[in-house]
Amino acid sequence: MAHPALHLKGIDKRFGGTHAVRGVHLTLRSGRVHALLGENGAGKSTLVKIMSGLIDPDDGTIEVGGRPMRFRGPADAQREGIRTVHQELELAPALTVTENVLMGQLPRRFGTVDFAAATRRTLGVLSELGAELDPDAIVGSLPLAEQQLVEIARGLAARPKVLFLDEPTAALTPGEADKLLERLRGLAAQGVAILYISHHLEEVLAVADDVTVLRDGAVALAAEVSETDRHGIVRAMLGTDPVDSQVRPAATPGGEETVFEVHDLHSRRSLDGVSFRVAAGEIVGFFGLAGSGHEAIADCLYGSGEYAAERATFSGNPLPASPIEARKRGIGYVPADRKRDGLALGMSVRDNILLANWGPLARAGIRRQGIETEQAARLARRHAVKAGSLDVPVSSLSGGNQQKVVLARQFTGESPKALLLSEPTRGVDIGAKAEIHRLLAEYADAGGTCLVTSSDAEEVAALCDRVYVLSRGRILTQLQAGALTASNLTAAAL
Amino acid sequence: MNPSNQTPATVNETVNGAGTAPPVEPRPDTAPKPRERDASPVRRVLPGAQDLALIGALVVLCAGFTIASPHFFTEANLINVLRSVAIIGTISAIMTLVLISGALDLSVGSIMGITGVLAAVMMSSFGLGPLTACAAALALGVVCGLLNAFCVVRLRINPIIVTIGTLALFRGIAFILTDGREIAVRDPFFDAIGFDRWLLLPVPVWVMLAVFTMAWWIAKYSVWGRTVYSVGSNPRASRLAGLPVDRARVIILAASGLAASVAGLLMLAQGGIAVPSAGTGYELQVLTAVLLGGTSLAGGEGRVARTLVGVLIIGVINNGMTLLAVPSYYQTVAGGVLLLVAVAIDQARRGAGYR
Repeated sequence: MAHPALHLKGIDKRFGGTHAVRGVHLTLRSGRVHALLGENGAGKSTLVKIMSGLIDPDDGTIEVGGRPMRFRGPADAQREGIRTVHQELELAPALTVTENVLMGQLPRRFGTVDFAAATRRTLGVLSELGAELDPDAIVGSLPLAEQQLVEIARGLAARPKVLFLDEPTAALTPGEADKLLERLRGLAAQGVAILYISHHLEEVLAVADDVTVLRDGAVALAAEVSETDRHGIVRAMLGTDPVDSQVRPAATPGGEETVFEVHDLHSRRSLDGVSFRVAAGEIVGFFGLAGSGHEAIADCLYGSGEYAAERATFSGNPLPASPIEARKRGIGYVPADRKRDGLALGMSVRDNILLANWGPLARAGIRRQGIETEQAARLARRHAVKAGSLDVPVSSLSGGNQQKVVLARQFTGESPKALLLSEPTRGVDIGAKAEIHRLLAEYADAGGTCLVTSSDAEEVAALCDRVYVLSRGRILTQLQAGALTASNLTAAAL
Repeated sequence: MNPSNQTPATVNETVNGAGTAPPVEPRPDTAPKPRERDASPVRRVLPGAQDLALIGALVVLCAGFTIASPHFFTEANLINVLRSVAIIGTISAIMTLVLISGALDLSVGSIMGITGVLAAVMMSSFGLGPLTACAAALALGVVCGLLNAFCVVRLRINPIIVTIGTLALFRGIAFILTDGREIAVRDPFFDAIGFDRWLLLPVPVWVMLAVFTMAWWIAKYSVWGRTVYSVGSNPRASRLAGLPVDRARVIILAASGLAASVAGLLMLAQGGIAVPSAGTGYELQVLTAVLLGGTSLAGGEGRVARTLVGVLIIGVINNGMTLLAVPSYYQTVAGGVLLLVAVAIDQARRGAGYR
């Protein structure tokens, strides 16, 4: 048998105290699609960075076509014909398809760009991909799926021997994803070795020849796809057998009063017909892997996202049209990205706790700083915000305390009727996480309603009364009571 | 208002009315203490240091010019300095709020031109009284500001681009209104504004100080001022928190137009003549003053009082150099160097810069 296109032997990498990659062997062969799987933090991205020359391994060897290599940077890997198509699109949106596909390698003639040759080459690459794109179209004007194709075409234009694709279908609709998978099979047939990273097990089973599963940095399974099955892969990822998840009809363990009721909710590119009901006093989770659509739900309910729905109500009335209306009607929102969407980072802890609530504390538009301070101190104390003083900038606080500031803000006026929380403890240390969970449980015990969207299985398992599991913008199933465990959630979402 | 009582952990205290604040005893270990002076020495001292540096620079400049020229530290000359900065000062006070809100208004110089011309045309061609003419000019200033705001809030165009456009637009209209000619204004009311003194100081200086006081009070003590800081600091978070982000932007740009029209009228009164090119380049002098005062172009940061010091520094430098008979070209160079040095020092101090 010929030498493998890329061969990793005993690759090892530590970051400080974290053993990110432990003695990994991996063999990519020309003409085959190899799937790399693993939960978040299993070491996939570190491994890809090592293979594409961004990180030096501590130990182990990399062989390209049988020759041992040492990559000193991404340029070395590219010279060996190794190309990476990243998950985040790295395109120049204002340039044409041709300019993006041939970025850095535009053909020249007499010192100027030979546009005719460039267009010919681009058309050649696109037709190999089976993509019908206008080479002169401006990339930013194309739909996301076609932009993804441009990104892949750029990888192909360099005539790679090895192509890494990191979650290439994350931005695509199911139909577009199917087409892309077909094209990947065609590419492999032309002799390219493809490494395919995805969260979607169905895709992997459909497209891959070989599969490697990482768990805690080590190889947990390496097999041909035909030798294994869905169950075996999930077991390798989780390290345990998943308990059979039970699909139950929607129960209402909360109060009788319906808070949110939504039928057939659609949101551009993220939600594709979602229906649910949330009752007063419940903590309901919406769980999915990144890109599953659960991220968009809170925005729709809060009036800050665009959506279409057959019926969508809050307390029996249509959903609020704007955040201002949402606040007035008693909906609070803790966004996923607190630095981007939650905090005025340069302002003080006090101002951030009171943000948008100075009005009710003032008289005739004039601030009453004594009352502001007293109110902010009370909220900070109740939400266990640890800060040197209310006057320090909120940016000087730890992530957990910043998150508690955003949470505290929701209670500056009357207690909200419902709280929407996206990734409520992302980037938060364990102690603060437990405190935030305790605060939310207390809020729900007192009759408040919590809607939590999260990609953290352990979090929703610990926090929620019941959880809707989403994939590709649809609700797959609902877990509650005994079946609500982190491993069941992960298994259900795959 | 009622603080939430729904959660079991509730503290059953209710805030109502002024002055009836229930005693707050934060747990010493965890809870933040309000207004603890020595809580974070670095953060508490540095702004003070910045104030000192600014005032220090002003004092050093004044001392230097006093030594260099016997004419500098005289009552008449100091009043001259104030008079010379009254016009850009009036605009700078509001421009500080504009920058804090994360916007920018480059059309103020052109608004000065167009409003001054309108007032003159109304008096000379239509025979209207000076008060009516002033009212019309002020209204036009607000309209200009609202047009800027419309482009920003409705058409979603970056304020810098919008006001580069309206800078040309308003200036062009000013020339059309007068057919490029200058219009002399002879009116006791305007003469009074331009040349009378109240309590030692010329009227334009009082106008500038009034506008500064108002802007300072708004920034510090009004709810709306907090909104402006918040919108500039993080518009996305402000919108999601339920603040009227767009309304704040409309009001701030309208106020900027109003301030520019006040400045336009002051200029008309001081010169006694309406020139369509009046105020050309003033937007940059105003920006220099605001940036000298340490206000961030990125929004969310800035102090009105520091802008006043920035305005005074510019006035003193120009005045002193004139007294020392430095040619005006060199004065222009000095202004540019001054701005670059001041902002470079400020960026280094903050550890933040252009990325």
